[in-house]
Amino acid sequence: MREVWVLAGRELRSFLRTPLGYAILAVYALVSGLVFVTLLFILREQMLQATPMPGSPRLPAVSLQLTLVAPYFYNVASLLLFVVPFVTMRAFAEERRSRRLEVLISYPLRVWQLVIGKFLGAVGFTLLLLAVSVLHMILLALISAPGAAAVLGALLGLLLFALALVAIGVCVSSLVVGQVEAAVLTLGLFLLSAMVGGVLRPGAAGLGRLIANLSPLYQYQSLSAGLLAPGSLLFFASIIVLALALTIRGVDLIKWRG
Amino acid sequence: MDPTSASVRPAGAGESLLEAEHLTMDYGAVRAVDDLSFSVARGEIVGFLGPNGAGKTTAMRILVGYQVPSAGTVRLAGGDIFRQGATLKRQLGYLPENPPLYGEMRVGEHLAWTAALKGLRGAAREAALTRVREMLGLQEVWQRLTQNLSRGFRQRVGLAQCLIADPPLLILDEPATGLDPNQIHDLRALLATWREEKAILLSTHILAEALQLCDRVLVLSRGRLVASESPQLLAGRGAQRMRTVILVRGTGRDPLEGLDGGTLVARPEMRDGPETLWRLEGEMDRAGRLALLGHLVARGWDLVEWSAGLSALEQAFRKLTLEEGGEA
Repeated sequence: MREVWVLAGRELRSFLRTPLGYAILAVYALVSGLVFVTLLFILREQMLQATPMPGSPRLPAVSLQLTLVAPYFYNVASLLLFVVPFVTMRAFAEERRSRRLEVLISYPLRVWQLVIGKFLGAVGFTLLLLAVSVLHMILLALISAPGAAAVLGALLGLLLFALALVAIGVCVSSLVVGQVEAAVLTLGLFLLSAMVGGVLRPGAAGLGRLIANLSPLYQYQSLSAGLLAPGSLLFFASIIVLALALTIRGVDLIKWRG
Repeated sequence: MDPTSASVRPAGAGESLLEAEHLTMDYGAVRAVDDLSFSVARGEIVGFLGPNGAGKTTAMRILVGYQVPSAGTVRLAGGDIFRQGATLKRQLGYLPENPPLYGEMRVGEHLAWTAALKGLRGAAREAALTRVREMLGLQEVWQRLTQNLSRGFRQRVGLAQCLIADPPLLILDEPATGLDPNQIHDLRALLATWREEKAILLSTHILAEALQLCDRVLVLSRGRLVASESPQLLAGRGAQRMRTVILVRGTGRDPLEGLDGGTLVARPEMRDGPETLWRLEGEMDRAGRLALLGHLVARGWDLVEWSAGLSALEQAFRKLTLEEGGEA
């Protein structure tokens, strides 16, 4: 297992030493920050509108959870669909193009160690991205009371969602040569799944509903509201395990295809 | 020092560390490696020769476990590399052509990382780092980012990666590519020092290197092994006829007068007072060259330059890879 951490540590450090890592971090911080501020303004507007004027009927209280927390996490999850492909693109595709994979495979390592090491490295960097969202929630807690359980639930859901995306991205990276190809394919896959989930979801039944249920973003919807639905948790856990198993198979296939 | 020590081989000398048996690799209808069998034992340097596209790189990728062959087996230190690979690979050091390094890492850090992946810990890792740093002269670039290294230092860092765990088997793909003559000299000296204790498979395009360093050469052509013998024996095959160019100077009418020079042609190049510089050119075998040399010396011609278009080993290489390799 020690070799796994050695591999993961190098992966993480490489993000922090290259412009790509900082570019990804900057884009995530900027866009998620804009989402946060925009939602704060919307919340403020709604609170102003909900304040009863003298003599007017009482208006329902504004829910911080529904107006800010859930939309924030849903939008951040959507943002991850665009960001994660750039985090995972190099994992195997670039190693293969540069012939570094050839050298790594000549080392006394098992394929699963390589795969888990690469995955954990990308997860480490993704955790740095999610730390920005944690910061947003801390800021929110300083000015309001968003409800710790709901926020923690949504954060846990976001973590699982991100891990599933990273596992899929690493898997795609093991199937192609070159980081651009890996990023484009992963992004295409994520967007397609989000669109399928969005289009089929309303009133879908049968096969349509089944396909919609396979969309990570659709599965994340209930988690973003802080509801830890066991079905969704199981879905993401299964995706992670399945994608990593496929990645191990994918790297083995490289040995067969050359 | 014990006077007999030079002839005493280390324990395990002669032990076969790499055995390839009937390796075949097909890419669809194209056969890149065709029934390749050979072995490399501790205490020998084996040259792996062949023109571009002969299947050397594919064969090397199979030997290090990166590619699974369509047929055949690779035994590394007695075990099957595709079944017990992770454990067996502790015995292996592999240097691909143009060693790929992580540009954002410093040299020392890169090698420490490699050492950790190869299972070295604590004091053993520090000792290994010190050993390769001094052996390959990396002190001055130890703190430098690998992306800022010259070609020669990149190659040395690649070699250091290969040697960090002191494996008994080295597979080196074109290790001298891009090195300047001094660096090539240093590399050859290093390889010669490892000869006794390691088994080395060395892919090279530099035939002089094979002649100078290797105990045996394997010549690959179109995926097939067309020769496996000592480079001296192989050179003997190509020494029959050689394109020869000779410049001589003297006052005589014709340097070839009184000699059956065969295809050799003599042409005056330049007059310098009573003397003329002649250029003699043609295909000659070894006996012909010796007879010509004796003739020129006996007639008092000054030998200005003597060159052969191709060395004997080059000729043998061309013959094997263009003719026996099958111009099908």
